[in-house]
Parts: sequence; C-alpha cells; structure tokens
Amino acid sequence: MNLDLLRPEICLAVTAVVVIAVDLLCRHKWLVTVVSIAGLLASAGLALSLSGGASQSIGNGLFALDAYAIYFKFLFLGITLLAILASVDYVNRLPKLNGEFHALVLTAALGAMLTAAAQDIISIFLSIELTAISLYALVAMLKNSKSSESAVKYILLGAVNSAILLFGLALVFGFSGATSLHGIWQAVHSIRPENIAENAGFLLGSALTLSGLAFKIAAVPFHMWAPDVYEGSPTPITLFLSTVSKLAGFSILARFVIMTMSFQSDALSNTFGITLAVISAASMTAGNLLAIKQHSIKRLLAYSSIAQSGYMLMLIATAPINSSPSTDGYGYSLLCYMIAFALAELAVFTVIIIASKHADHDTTDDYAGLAKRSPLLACAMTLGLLSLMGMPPLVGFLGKFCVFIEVAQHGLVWLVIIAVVNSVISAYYYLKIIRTIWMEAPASTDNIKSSIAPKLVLLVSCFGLLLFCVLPMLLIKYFEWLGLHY
Amino acid sequence: MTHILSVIIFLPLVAAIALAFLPRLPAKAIKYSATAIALAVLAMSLHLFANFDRSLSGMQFEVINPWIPALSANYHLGVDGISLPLVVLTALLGLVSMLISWKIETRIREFFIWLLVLESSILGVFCSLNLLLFFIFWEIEVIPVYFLISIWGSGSKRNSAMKYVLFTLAGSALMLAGIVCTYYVTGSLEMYVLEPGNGMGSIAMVPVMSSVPIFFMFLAGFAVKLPVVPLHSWQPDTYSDAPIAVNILLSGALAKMGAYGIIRICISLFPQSSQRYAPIMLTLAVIGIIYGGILALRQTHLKRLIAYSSMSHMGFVLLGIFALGQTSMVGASLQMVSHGLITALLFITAGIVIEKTDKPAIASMGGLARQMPATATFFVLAGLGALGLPATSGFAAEFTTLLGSFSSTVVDSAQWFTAVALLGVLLSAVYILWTIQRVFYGPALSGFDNVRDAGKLERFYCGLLVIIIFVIGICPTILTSVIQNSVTGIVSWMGG
Amino acid sequence: MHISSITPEFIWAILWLPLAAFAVIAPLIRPFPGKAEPASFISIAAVGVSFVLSCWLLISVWNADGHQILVNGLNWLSITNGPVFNFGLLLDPLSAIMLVVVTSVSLMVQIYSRAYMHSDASYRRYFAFISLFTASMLGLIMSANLLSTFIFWELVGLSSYLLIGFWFHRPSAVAAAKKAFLITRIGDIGFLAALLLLYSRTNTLDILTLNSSAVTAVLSGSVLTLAALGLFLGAVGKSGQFPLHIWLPDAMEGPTPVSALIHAATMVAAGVFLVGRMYPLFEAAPHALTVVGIIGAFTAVFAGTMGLVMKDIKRVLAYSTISQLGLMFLGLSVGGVWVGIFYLFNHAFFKALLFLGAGSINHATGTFDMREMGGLRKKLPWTCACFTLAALSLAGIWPLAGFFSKEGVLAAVWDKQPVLFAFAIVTTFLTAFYIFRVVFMVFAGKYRGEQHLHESSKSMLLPMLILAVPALASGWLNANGGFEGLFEGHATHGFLEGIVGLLAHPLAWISLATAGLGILLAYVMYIKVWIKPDRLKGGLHPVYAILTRKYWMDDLYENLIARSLLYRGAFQIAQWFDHVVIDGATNGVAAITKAAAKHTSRTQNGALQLYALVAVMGALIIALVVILV
Repeated sequence: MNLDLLRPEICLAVTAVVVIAVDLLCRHKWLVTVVSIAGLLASAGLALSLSGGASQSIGNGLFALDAYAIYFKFLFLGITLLAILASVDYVNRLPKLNGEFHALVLTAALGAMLTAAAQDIISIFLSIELTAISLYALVAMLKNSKSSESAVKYILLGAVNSAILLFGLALVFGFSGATSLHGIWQAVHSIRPENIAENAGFLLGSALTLSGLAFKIAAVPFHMWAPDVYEGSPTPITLFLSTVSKLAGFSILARFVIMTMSFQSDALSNTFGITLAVISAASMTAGNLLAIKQHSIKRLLAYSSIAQSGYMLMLIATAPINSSPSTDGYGYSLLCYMIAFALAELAVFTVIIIASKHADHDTTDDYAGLAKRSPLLACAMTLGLLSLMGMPPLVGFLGKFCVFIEVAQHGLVWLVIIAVVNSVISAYYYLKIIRTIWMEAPASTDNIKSSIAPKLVLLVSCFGLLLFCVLPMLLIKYFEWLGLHY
Repeated sequence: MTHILSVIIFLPLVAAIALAFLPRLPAKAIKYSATAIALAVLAMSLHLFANFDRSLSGMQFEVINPWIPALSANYHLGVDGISLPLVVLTALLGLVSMLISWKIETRIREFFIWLLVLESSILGVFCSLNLLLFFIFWEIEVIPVYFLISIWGSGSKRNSAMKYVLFTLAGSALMLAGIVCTYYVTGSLEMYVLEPGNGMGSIAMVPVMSSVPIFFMFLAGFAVKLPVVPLHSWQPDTYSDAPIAVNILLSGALAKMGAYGIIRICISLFPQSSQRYAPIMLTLAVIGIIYGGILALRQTHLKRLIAYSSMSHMGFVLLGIFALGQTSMVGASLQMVSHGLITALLFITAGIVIEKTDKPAIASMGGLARQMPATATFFVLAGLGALGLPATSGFAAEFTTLLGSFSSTVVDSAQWFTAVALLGVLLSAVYILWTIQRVFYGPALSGFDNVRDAGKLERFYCGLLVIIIFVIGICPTILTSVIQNSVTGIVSWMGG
Repeated sequence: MHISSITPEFIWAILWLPLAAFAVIAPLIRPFPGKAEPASFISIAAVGVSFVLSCWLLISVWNADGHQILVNGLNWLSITNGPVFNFGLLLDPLSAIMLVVVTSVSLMVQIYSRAYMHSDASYRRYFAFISLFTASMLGLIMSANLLSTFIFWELVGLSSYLLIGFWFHRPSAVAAAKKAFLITRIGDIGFLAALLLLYSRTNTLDILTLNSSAVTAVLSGSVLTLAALGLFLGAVGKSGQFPLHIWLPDAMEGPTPVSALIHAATMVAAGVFLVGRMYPLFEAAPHALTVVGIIGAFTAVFAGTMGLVMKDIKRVLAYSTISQLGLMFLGLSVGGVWVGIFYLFNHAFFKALLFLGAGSINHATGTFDMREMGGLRKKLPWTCACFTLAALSLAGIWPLAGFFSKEGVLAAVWDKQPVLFAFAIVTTFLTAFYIFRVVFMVFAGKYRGEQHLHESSKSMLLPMLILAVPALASGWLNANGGFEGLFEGHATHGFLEGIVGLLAHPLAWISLATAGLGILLAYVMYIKVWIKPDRLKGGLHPVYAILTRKYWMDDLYENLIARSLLYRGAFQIAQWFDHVVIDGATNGVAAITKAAAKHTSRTQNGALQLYALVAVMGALIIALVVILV
C-alpha cells in the first residue's frame, strides 16, 4: 500500500487540518488564506514530482496514478487556488466562517482529485461522497433563508442520487464479480452478444451508475437542482460547484464509460452511445432554452453551464464506440475543452464575486453600464461570455471545434448539427448580458473596489482565454509533457 | 516582403489594441492615428496590386507555417486574382470609413477600435487559405459590427444589431458544421490542397459521406451574408440603422465575403455539385435581382432603398458566379468591386443628406440640388453608376456578367435567366431616377434653406470614389487583367 | 482639286474635340460665377472644327477606295479565352453624311443658344451638356464595334436626360426627363438583348464581321430575326416610334435649342442610323424589314393625326418629327439605306430650322401656345420667312428639299408595298395640313397676345438663315443621283434632268396634289375661316376628344401600367410578402424559441419533490432503454 504515491492528497488533508487550527488560534484572518494557498502549492509541487512516470495503481488497485489522473490533479489544484484568491474579499465579509470555508474547500478539492484517480467501485463512491458532503456544508455557509433552502435541496437530492449510484455500483459488482474497473472490463469483454439476457442485471447496474454520475454533472434529466443551488449558494461556492465538482463528475464518468461499456457486440455499446448522445443533446437544448428567459445572472449561468456539460457529454458519448481500454482514447479535445470551460467560468464568476453587492439575488440589470464603472471587469466578463459562446479568437472556440471534429469523426454528425444550432441560441442570451454591460447607463454610480487578488485571477483567466487560441501548441506540449499521447 | 499579408491583416488589429491601452488620448490623436493606419494598409495593398504577377493563376505572396498540426490547420495566407481586388477594395473602404468617422463625438476611442478590428477581420477573410483560419476571421467580424451598430447606430439599432448577429451566427454555424464534415471526409483543412486540381482527391470522390450536404452547408452560410433572397430580412434593418462608416464596410466589404466564399469554397471545392445545382442558384439570383429592384421601388426610407438596391446588384454577382463561365465569373468579380464602390458612394451621399436634413424619409425631401449642389452631383453620379451607365464601372461589370452568363456553355439554361435579369437592369434605372427626382430635383423647399452642403473632406473622398468608378468604367482591363487568370483556374475544372 | 485623304488623328479629333470641350467646361460649372462667356466659345469652337474636319472626312470617304475608311482603335476589354473588344472607327458614306449633319446642326444650334440662353443662370452647365451630347452622338456614328455604339447610345440617352431636365427646379421638366430616360431605357434593353444574342452566336460584336456573317448566312433564321427585332426595339425607343413614343412630346419641356438639336435632328435620328448601319442584318432576317415598315407607316399616320389638334407649337413639331421618322423607317424598309438616310439628311435641316423659329417666336411672345399668337409676320419678318420656307419644305412642295426625299420614299413604297403607300399619302396630307395650320395661326390674322413683339437678335437669326439654305437646297444633292450613287454606287445622270425630270413622274404630281390639298384645307379653316375650327371640333367631338387625349396612350402607360398595375399592385404584394412572410418567418423562429423557453422554465418551480421524481424517473428510463433496446 505505497502511500507515498498519494503525497499530494495527504499534503492537502494536512493543510485542511492546519487551517482549522490556525483559524482557532490566531486573530489575523489573512493568515488562514496564506496557509491554504501554501498547502495547495506544496501539493502541486508533490504532484509534479510524481508526474512523468509510468502509470501505476496505488493501494492495490484502489486509485490509478496515470497521466489522466495527474492532469486532473493539476486542473483541480489550479482552479481551487484561483477560486480561493478570487474569494479573498468575499470571505473577509464573514470573518467567523473563514477557517471553515477554507478547510471545506480544501477537502472538496481533495475529494475531487481522488475521484479523478479512483479505479475501484469503492474508491469511486468514497471520493464522490467526500466531495459531495464538503460541498453540502459550503452551500449552507451564508445562513440566510435562500442559502439554507438551496442547501437542503442539494443535500436531499444528493442523498437520493448517492442511493441510486450505490445501488448501481452494487449491481455492477454483483454481476461482474470484480470491484476494480479492470476486472469489470475483462468480465464485460467476455460477455458474448447472445447471452445478454441473463446479464440484464449488469446493464441495469451500469445504467443506474450512469444516472448517479449524470446528477453530479447536472445533465438534463438530473439538472433540476443546479439552478436553485447555484443561485442560493455563495458565489465562490457556485464557481466551485460549476467547475471542480462538475469536472470531477466528468473525469470519473469518462473513466467509467470507457471501462464498463466497451462490449464486443457493438449493438450494445451503440445503445449506450446513443443514450449518452441523446442526454447530451437534451441538456444542450434545455440548458440554452431555459437560459433565455432568466433575469438572475447566477441562474442564467447555471443553465449555461448545464448546456456546457451537454457539449462535454457529446464526446463521452463517442467513447463506447471505440473500445480501447485506456483513457487516452479521448485525445486532447475533451481535456482542452475542460480547460477552456474552467477559464471562462473563472473569469465570469470572479467578476460576479467582485461586482455583486447583495449576496443572493442579483439580476443582469445590476450589471448595466459595468463598462463605464470598471473597464477591466467588463472586458473580463465579455471575454468569458464570448469564450463560453464559442467566439473564435478565444480558446472556447478551439475547444468546441476540436470536440466537433472528434464527434464528427465518430459519425455522430446529427449531434454536431444540434450543437452548432445550440451555440447560436446561446449567443442570444450571452449577447444580452454583453449588451447590458456595454450599452446601458450604469445602474449605480459607486465605483467597485476590490483587492489585488481577484484582479490577478481575472488577468490570469483572460490571458489564458486569449493565449491558448493563438498558441494552442502550448496546450499540446503540456499534454505531451504529462504523458498523454494523442 | 514575404510577410506583407500578415502585416496587412494584423496592423489594424495591433493598432486597435494599442489604442485600447493608451491612456487619455485626445480625440484628434485617435482620429489621425486610425486614419494613418488605414492609409498604411491601403498603401501596402496597392503595393501588392502593383507587383502582382498578372500571368500566374495560382496564389501569390503565400505564407505557410504550422499552427495546430494535430488538426493539420496551419497559418496559410495567400492572395490570387479574385481576392486581391477585394483586399484593395476593403482597404480603400476602410480608409473612407475612417475619414467619415471624424464626425463621431460619442465614445470616439471605442468606435475607432471596433472599426480597426472589423477592417482587419475582413482583410483576414480575403487572405486566409485555411478553412479554420478563414472561419476564425469570419466570426471575429460579428462582434465589432454588433457593437458599432448598437452603440452608434440610429433608429431601432439594438434589435437590428441583434438580428444581424443572430443571422450571421446561424449562417456561420452551418459553415462550421460544413468545415467539420470536410475535415472528417478529407482529413485536411487546407483550401488550396483540397481543390480537385491538386490531386488531394476532391471531396466529391470520397464515398464516406456524399459532398452534397457539405456543399449546401457552406452555401447556406455564404447565402446569409450575400444576402440571397429568402435569408435577407436582416439586411434592410441593419443597413438603415447602422452608422454610415459601418454601412460602407457592411455593404462594400462584408457582402463580398459571402460571394468570395462561394467562389473560393463552394465552386472550387465542389465543382460537380455546383454544376448540378447551378440552375437553382441562378433562379435565386434572378429572384434576388427582380425582388430587390421591386422592393427598392417601394421604400420610403432612403437607406433602406439603397439596401435593397445593393441586394439587387449582389443578385448579379450570384448570376455571374453560378453561370460558371469564364467571362461571367470575371464579370462577377468586377461587379463585386464596382458594386462596393458605387454603394459606398450612395451611402455616403445619403448619409450626408440625412445628417444635414435629419429626415431619413424620402417623402419629406425635395429640391435639394439647389441647396446641396455638390452632394446632389455625387449622388447623381453614383446613381448613374448603379443603373449601369456606360463609362462607369457599373456598366463594365454588368455587361461582362450578362455577356458571360448569356453565352456560358457550362450551364445551358443560363440564357433564360440572363434574359430575365435584364429586367433588373431596367428596374434599377426606375428606382434610381425616381429617387433622384424626389430627393434632389423639383422646387427647393423652404425648410432646407439653411442646410449646409458637403464639407471639404466629404468632397475629397466622394471625389476619390467617383474618379475610381470612372477609371474602372473607362478602362476595366486594370482589374480584369488581374482577375482573369485565377478564374481560368477555377473554371477549368468545370469545363467552362 | 485633289485634297489629301484625312489622317486617323484628325478622325479621332472629330470625336475628342467636343469631349475635351465638355471636360474643360464641366469643372468650370461653379467656381467662376462671373463671366460665363468662355464656356460657349470653347464649345462652339470645338464643334466648328469638328464640322470642318467632318466635311474633309466626307470628301476623303468620297474618293477613298470602296468609300470606306477603317481606323483600328484601343482595346477596351479582353479576357483570356473570353471576349476581346477593341473600339475602332468605321467611316463609310452613311457615317460621313451623318457626321456632317450632326456637326452642322449642332454648330448652328450652339450659336443660336448663345443668345437664347444668355440670361440663364446655369449657362455653363448648358454648354457642357450640349458638348457632351455632340461628342457621344459623334461617337455613336463613328464606332466600328456594336458595343461602343451601345455605350455612346446610352451616353446620348444620358445627355438627353440631363438636357430635358435642365431646368430641374420645374417638376414637369424633371418628370419628363425621367420619363424620357426610362422609355428609351426600355428600348436599350432590347438593344442589349440583341447584343448578347449576336455575341453568343458569333463571339464578336464588330459591325463589319456581323454584317458579313449575316450575308454569308452564318447568322440566320429565328436568332437573326430576334437580334434584328432587338436592335429595332432600341431604334423604336430612341426615335420615339409607336409603342415607345410617349416621351418625345413631353421632352419639349427642355430648352428649345435642345429640342431643335436633340429631339428633331440628331438623337431621334440615331434609331434610323442604327437600322441603316446594320442593314444587311435586317435584309437577311426574313420578317424584320416588314415589321420595320409596318411600325414606321403606322406611327407616321398615328403621330400625324395627333399633330392636328395640339395647341403648343413645340408639341405639333414633336408629333411631326415622330411622323417623319415613321416615314424614314418606311423608306428604309422598302427603298434601302439611301432612301431613309436621304430623308433624314433633309429632315434634320428643315426640322431644326422650324424649332429654332419656334424658339425665336417664344422669345418674342413669351409663350408657345398658338392661341395667344397671330399676325406675327409684320413684327418678325425674318423668322416668318424662315419658318414658312421650312414649312413648305416639310410639306414637300416642289423645288424644296422635302419634296425630293419624300418622292424617294413614295416611289420606293409604291413599287414594293402598295398597301403602305396609302399610309404614306395620308401622312403627306396630314403633315401639310398641321404645319400650315401652325403657320396660319401664328403668322396670319391679328395678334391675340399683349406682349411687346420684337424681332429676335441677329445672333439668333443668323443660324436660322444659314440653316434655311440646306432646308432649301439639300434636296438637289440627289438631283444627279449623287447621293444615291454614294451608297449604291451606280452612275449619276444630269443635274437639271434630275430636278425637272422628276416632275414627269406621275407620282410627283400625286404627292404635290395631296400636299396642296392639305395646305388649302388649312388656308380655308384658318385664314378664310369658311369652316370654323371650333364648329368642326363640336361636330367631330369624339374624334377630337381621342386626339387631344393622345389616344389615352399616356394614361395607359403612366396611370394604368406604371401606377395601378405595378406600383400599387404587383410591387405592393411583393412588399407585403417581404414584410409578412420573410420578416414574419424570422420573427416566428425567434418567437418559437422564446415560447419553448417559457414552457420549459415553468417546470423549474422549486418543488423538491418534483426534482427528486424527475431524477428517479430519468434513471428508470435510462435503465429501461439500455436493457430493452
């Protein structure tokens, strides 16, 4: 049980504990932030030392340490670091919860990293629950009626879904006889097409696991919780929910689909592929349609992130069709799209964190004339929204373009058409926000003050958005350095 | 000198970014620097025009370096006989629109930033030879136009800007699907490589997915821009609500992107499908000519009238392109340049009239020739160009197009379409003369006595455009010598 | 005496001089409000030199071999494996004579205009447009390529538009200019269609090659007829023949010298010239010439009848021009090129003289309405003499030019198309009647207006007197068959024998008799007043009403076709279609998406139980799909 392979995760856990201690002992609240940032950086350093090696399993098969897991480790650490930096002012406004906020964010990040690396049914469920529980507490942070109502919704629906997930995993284990994904893969591969009937239990199990994971990424049939929770919870947590928790869900969903759905008979894998494609098309269309009528900016962004998860799901729908066991089958497009999505969400939500005065409900009109009040925020928001829309000079377009090419490569051209039409519908409501920012008279005249850290986050994300489209070679070199091959 | 194309495209973009970050620039400095940049771009494009080798039919001044090798998308620029005149036209119209915008007072810096970004994106479209690069420049153009119309426009500027953006995005979404399918079918995004002539195996040959749907995806994307009849409802609103400087670039350069796209992608990459579906497109072209003419006659708002007349003239371009004949294609490219100049002059003079009398409706105008003789003369000259009077570029272009499409051997039914298109020539005479009579001639109305005529600067660039229109009209070989060889390349696959 | 043949530079000079005059005067239009004189000097000098050169050209063409000079010109447009157009000059008897006519009439009219337009504010603009017109008319005559003919053809149309609408502050003038341009434009579309047709069959537009290919039957059958009819449609538009004639009477809104130059002598003759120039095409096309003849004959009578009732001198002269042009087309269709062109040659001079006379009458009485004139012969003796002389020549009285050309047409019509001969004779009678109705109403009787009458100034009378000479003598040119010889090239007979000998021919007496009858009827009605005109009007009221309403042709075109059928009918439907269907469709798509959005968002009502239910149902559906499918 070579624990030293789990160095980054252990370091993060230790930091979480130290943060709580620091919060108790000393009066300077900024020290807490410094410690958590130091912990994150240390964990990143440790993860750096692990990367590059051959892919191996930790704890006899519980967790995998391959390039795919390391990519996600760096992704989650990076997002958490930027999220904490972005919420420095926000957290100062509620001093007593400073320590808890940082600790829970770190544990959620830890859970996400473990989810990405999980390779065994048990470790999958454990890490998902770790992330979920720390997020339940974070959502309820604000203690006002709206925040607690959304927290209760999130907890109850989360519980329902954990039950579905657990039931599914149990069935999968029952019929395949193995708990590790590789074992399941061998079992699945040996099923001959004609005796599918008696393995119906296995199919039911994988379908239910799919539904459980779909809840995590807020795909359509399970997206109902997203708008209320995103609106109710404090903005940094909404940022965290829509990036780290969603991408963690995607990482494990991708791994699960690759491992358990590559049947010999392509009839079966086609049905899974088509169901995933239908779910993705549904979430794209529903997400975009619902976003049109929204006035509250956080609900609108919730729907837009549902639509974005639809786009990402498109690629996972192609996974069952090619049956190579390794997760490298995705190539760079999904991973590149995730980076683009994360950067865009960071930019947009940081602007909301800085600009929003009243905690829970702010409509798009509150952002009227933002350009006159602070050009930096307006530019960052516009760049973020344009990247979400898929406008060319930004990395969002490159991500979308690569995803479309991958999906077309697998013959799902009808899905590409739907996605393309959806991006036009999404253009409508993104442009409505951009219009309110740039063209209306400023809603209020007090200028927006914010410390250096959030501005730094804005600069980093805008720079990332613009740079990667002009020089995509950097991204590709980064993937190659990680060990992923195309 | 090899990287001159990159410099031409990115100079305005860099200038725009510089303008954005320089603090506290006085209005005059912004205006002069933006005009200087536009002038430099024009000078460089004229330099290109001068040393363009008229005998070659392939690409010149080419630049290729890898950009995203994974997708075989490399940064490939090049100019040939069809795109070079359009580059020069865009540079010229860019300079003219800068000069016009000296009258803008509100948020001057942003206006010039967006104008420079718009100009560089249009130049990018005309020079890029890689489908991905082409699409990126094609999409960049949407945002500046949206901002320019919705902030500095007039009338119901907000929703005509939104209408324009959604229409263009819908068109380009279809185009994106087309590009993706082309990549999927042939595995390469290089326009020049994909052309059947270069042995890369034309798209039509690959059985995996028939090339007809891809052809129509691209065609729909370009048809929105052109605008072809059923997809034109954005044009009158956008043209009547946009500020004059944007109007010129919209009608002068952006409409040509659609036509250029059709020639460069639909015709060159899909010769068989374009030949098979030419009659349908010819019908749309002729409908566009007649329909545009009829509706122009019915308009009461001066700029909407010019918008519909521009649609009718672009119908001629489509007629010339899809007649797939050597002369008709040369005529179509000539018509693109001449229509750009003439409509720009029409819009400038209409803008001066509306600005000085601040009444866009034609009914409220009359007898302005006495108060505004210079503007009246320029409008009449532009109008004569629009109705295709000999000695103006309008006639040279229209005659070559009609001649080419009438005698085109490739599409046998082209003769009947050209015969009907002749009615369009008559219609354009009707609505142009009707407008001149209502706006400029007739008894001088007392309300306009204190109306000032066009200023010195306005006379300068109106005169410049008039001179160019007449030079091309009197001796069209300046342009046709450039265009003809690259058209032979394209038409040869058609057996034209 | 042997004069060296004209060199190409001078031939080009004929065309470039007026164009240069236009180019010099045009920019001067505004800056110097002061002295306006130089403009007229430049323009008159240019036309004068052109006139001398074209006389020299006529002589050189006379003794050039085959009576033809070809000058190859500059390349206008050439496309690789596509069309190659280079514009040269073709000088043969037809164009040489037309050159002389155009330059001489233009010179006289410009000298006349110096005085006529003296008080006008935009004096320079007038002379600029007149030189532009002269240049484009000369270009039209001399061009060797049908495309350059078409280019100058449209430039002539443009300058007529600019000159008709010269006083653009008068709405009626502007409307007339627009009407003229549009109606001639319809004709031009026919011309353009013919060009396209000819090019698509022979890949060239060079006149000589086209004519020879028509003769050698390379071009034949329905294509040739269609092309010929297309060219004829262009000619009908420009010369104001039957279907497209309504613009010519309204074109009288322009200044009188303009009407004299453009709408009497030169531009309207362009149609006849075009048919003459492409005559082999018409000859080879089976039915084209008969169509030309029929239209010509019908227009002659049709316009002649309308000329009877007009009250405005210029309108009468306009209808008379249309009628005479009808006769020219008739002459062309039956007698060959020289008959039509000889008629055109004479007609140009005396019709220009009539218009200049009308201009000087207007200068004196300040109006064109004949009811306010009368008894002007005492106050305007010279104008009266010239006007009456030209009237006699128009009516076709023996020693004058009109008689000889009319005789040529009648003789040709008599032996080729006897049916149309009746039309010709009726036209002769009508012409004689309405021109002498004008003469008697204007010069005879006592003055009905109250203006202080005075004879026009010398600089107006001089050109009229100079024009009177050819009006008198131009007929004698063909006395010895010289004019005909120039075209058909057979021998010439004695001079006197030509003039007097013609009288021996019975036809001459028939035409003289009908002309005399017409003059007598006019004399009886307007001098002796045995038959009171207004009682006649009462008696033949329906006929009179039809004629004054110009057979309702104007209303048919303008109100019925243009306004109600097209503008308020078809075009309104198109606009409704565009508004409702196209805009409706786009807004509809937007509305659908909005409605869909509204419905789906209603499901988000915040009820926790609903969310859980949807989640579980979703899971179940996925499981079922996976198992069953």
